[in-house]
Amino acid sequence: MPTPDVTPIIPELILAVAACLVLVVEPFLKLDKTAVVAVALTGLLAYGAAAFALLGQDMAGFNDMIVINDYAIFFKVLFAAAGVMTVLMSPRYLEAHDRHLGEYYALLLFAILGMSVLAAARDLMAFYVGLELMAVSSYLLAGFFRYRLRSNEAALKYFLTGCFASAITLYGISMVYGFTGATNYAEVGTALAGGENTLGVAFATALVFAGMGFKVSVAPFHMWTPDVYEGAPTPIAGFFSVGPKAAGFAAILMMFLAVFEASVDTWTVIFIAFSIFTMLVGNLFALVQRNLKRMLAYSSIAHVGYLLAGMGAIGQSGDLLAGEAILLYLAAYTFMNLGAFGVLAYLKTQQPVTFDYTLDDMAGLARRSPWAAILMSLFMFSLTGIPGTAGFIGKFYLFNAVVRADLVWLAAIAVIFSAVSAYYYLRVMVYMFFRESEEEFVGGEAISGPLAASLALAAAGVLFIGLVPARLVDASATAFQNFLGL
Amino acid sequence: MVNPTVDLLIQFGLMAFIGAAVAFALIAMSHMMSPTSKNPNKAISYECGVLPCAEARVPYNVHFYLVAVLFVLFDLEAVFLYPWAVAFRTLGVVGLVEMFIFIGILLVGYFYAWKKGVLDWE
Repeated sequence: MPTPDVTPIIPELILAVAACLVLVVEPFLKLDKTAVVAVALTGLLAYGAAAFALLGQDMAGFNDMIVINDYAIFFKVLFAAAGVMTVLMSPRYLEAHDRHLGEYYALLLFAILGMSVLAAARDLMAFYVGLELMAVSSYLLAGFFRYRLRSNEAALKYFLTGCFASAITLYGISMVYGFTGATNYAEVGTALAGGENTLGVAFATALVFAGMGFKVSVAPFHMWTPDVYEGAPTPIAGFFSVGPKAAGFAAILMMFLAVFEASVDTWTVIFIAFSIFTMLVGNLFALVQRNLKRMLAYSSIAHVGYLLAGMGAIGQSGDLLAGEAILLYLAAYTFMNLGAFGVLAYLKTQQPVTFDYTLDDMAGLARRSPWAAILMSLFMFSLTGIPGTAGFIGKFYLFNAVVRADLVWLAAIAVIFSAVSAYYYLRVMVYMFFRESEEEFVGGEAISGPLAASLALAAAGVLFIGLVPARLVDASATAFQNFLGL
Repeated sequence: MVNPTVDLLIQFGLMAFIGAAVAFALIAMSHMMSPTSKNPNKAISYECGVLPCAEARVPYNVHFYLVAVLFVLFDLEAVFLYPWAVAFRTLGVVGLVEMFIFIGILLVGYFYAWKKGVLDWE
């Protein structure tokens, strides 16, 4: 057997070693977990740097199961950024809950490893292994506060729906294998292009869509999302709302463009229909939430709806712009949503007892901690899509692509729903700036250094993408074109 | 000549129907054909012939569970080692190195469990 070339998986190898190292170091530490945090951070930075260094490479390895190209690297760098932000906002939050354990970081790194494989997979088997690695680590992270009822509930709900989704995806994959006798994306795509078994392929497409729909919380497969986000540790809820979603969309894009290319007419209709329903459910349910974590959960469902509209646009027109817009939107969304969860994590560390993530708890925040209020406003503006922030650039490119695919009516629906979303995003600001807190504020702890760094990183990302988007637009364009060229 | 889509639909329906029918038929047949004798002893949980003396659902040491999980881990390792040993000559040095990496990752987990006191029964 020839020696395999490990170049395509160098970033993943670094991440895997770092995760194992965390597990080796952890048992030797008593209460101070700084060493573990340092190992995890170094690992993530090295992972991102290694991916960045491989930029421009285009090669496949391990029997064409895994590729390294600009598309995979785009996502790897994005995951590294999300991971760094999550790690930085975690220590103080976990200490506030007396659950600062090293396993947390190991699980986080393993989840990112799974996401990374998911974005780089070019084979149904590698895809599934990545999906499960990501999912199993996520279930454990959701239930990390195992002495809390809510956290257990979150883990159990996530686990059961997640297993169900995995099984459905696997059933779809098995049907694809049955029709084609291949698991490699390119081979399957060629075999399916023959046009036989159209009904069976449509069935397999629908199954894979439903399974992946669970993972990225497409309505009506979204029921677990608010409960899981509410019960999971806040940094982890933030991570769930960006990481697995970005990885899921990386895989969906690749899967539906490379594997199910033949049934493009079927899945375009599926994507457009589910897009409208997801936008509707996400935005309408977000309107009535008074718990901010639940509100952000429904808002994340709404954002998935916009992204699905982009998928519909790709299917409709084959327009490159839509794919680039999805990548761009995912990058913008990562920074703004993780930032919003970061502010919530900060407020929880400040008042571990009284703060309960409700709108009323946000009252008078501008007076108590003006910086937190300003940052939260920035992230809320960005999620709404106000110009000057990342959210605007993301929405602008995405809706533009939808219009270019002759789906003007779909773009109109998306814009109307974005306008609706302004109500629940800006309401948070009304509470922060114009309502006085009823309870007397008991002075809390100052912000910890890492948490401040994490928020600064998120804010910098939002402003950078919002004000000078050219770099990222180019990057996502190169990444997506490179992916199509394969 | 039937419309191909309709034909496929019929095939799909037949497959689903036969699959469900076989499952139901097997359960129903075993229900109908097996001899049944009502005997209170049959309702007792099977404990190797010894009469059960207490409720089985009692809290027991979590160590049993942890050791069981560790056992599954290394049991599965053996499952992977066996085909590797059979194909050892074809896989050569690369296979050897890959197997050592695999075992190394498992050992990290074992080391972690050990240091965390899973094997400590005091």
